[in-house]
Amino acid sequence: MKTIYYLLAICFGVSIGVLISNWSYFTLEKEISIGDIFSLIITTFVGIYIAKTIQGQLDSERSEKDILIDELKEVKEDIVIVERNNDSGIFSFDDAKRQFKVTNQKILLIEELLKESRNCKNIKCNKLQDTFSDIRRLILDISPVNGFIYIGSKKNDVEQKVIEFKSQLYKLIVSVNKS
Amino acid sequence: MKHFIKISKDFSNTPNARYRKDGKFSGEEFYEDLLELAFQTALDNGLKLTVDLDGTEGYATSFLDEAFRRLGEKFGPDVVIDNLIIISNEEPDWVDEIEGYIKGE
Repeated sequence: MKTIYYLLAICFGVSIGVLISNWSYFTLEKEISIGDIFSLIITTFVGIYIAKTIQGQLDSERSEKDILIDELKEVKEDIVIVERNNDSGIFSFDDAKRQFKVTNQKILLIEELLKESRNCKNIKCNKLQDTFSDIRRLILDISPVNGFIYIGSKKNDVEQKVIEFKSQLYKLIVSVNKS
Repeated sequence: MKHFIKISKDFSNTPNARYRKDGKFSGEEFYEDLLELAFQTALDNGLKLTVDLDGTEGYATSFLDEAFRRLGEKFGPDVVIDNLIIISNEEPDWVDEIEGYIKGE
């Protein structure tokens, strides 16, 4: 499809050129000097080089953002699991400890990636980290019974914190995308 | 008596919750059976105690709170902070969290 558009654009350009060349207000030289050919070739190559360099830079920036956004989406999937367990009122104690450790490490990785990135250095995820710690504390402070945590009266607190976390996560995704 | 505790090797790879009644490898068990004596011994020898948190399958906040809060209560927060080194490369944020427990926050 793209090829067809390019061909159409070229045909359009040639048609305009033929029209102009037949219009008496414009005259075209039917001769071209060696200097002009040389200048044309150089200009063409410089144009292609600049386009490639800028395109390369844009692609690199987009890749960085995509990596960050993918990592943030993974964290979102983890918190959805927490939300689901909270809705059911039960967490497996060992699974919860393990999952919180893994998710914490993902958040720390995101922090490092933000610091290393070209355009996202000023984006912070401290609030996200703090809210995550609050969720972890709310759940893992409860004494397990036969290997399970029964969330009980803390359910609403966890729910509120999860909503807060998701809101902060979405804001981060938007900030990264906009940068 | 060594002045280095690697929890995953010297205690458990799967530390439990707060109290002994919650099951084996609780924070209470860790403090009473290992941490308190190790810290006292280190102090007596004029050394710092190093506790390595890495290598386990994750911690409950209640485990760490029970163990390190009691350490702070027994020896005083300033003494503990000056003579305790926490290694936590997998989750560096535990270091500040534990300092908070020691101070009773």
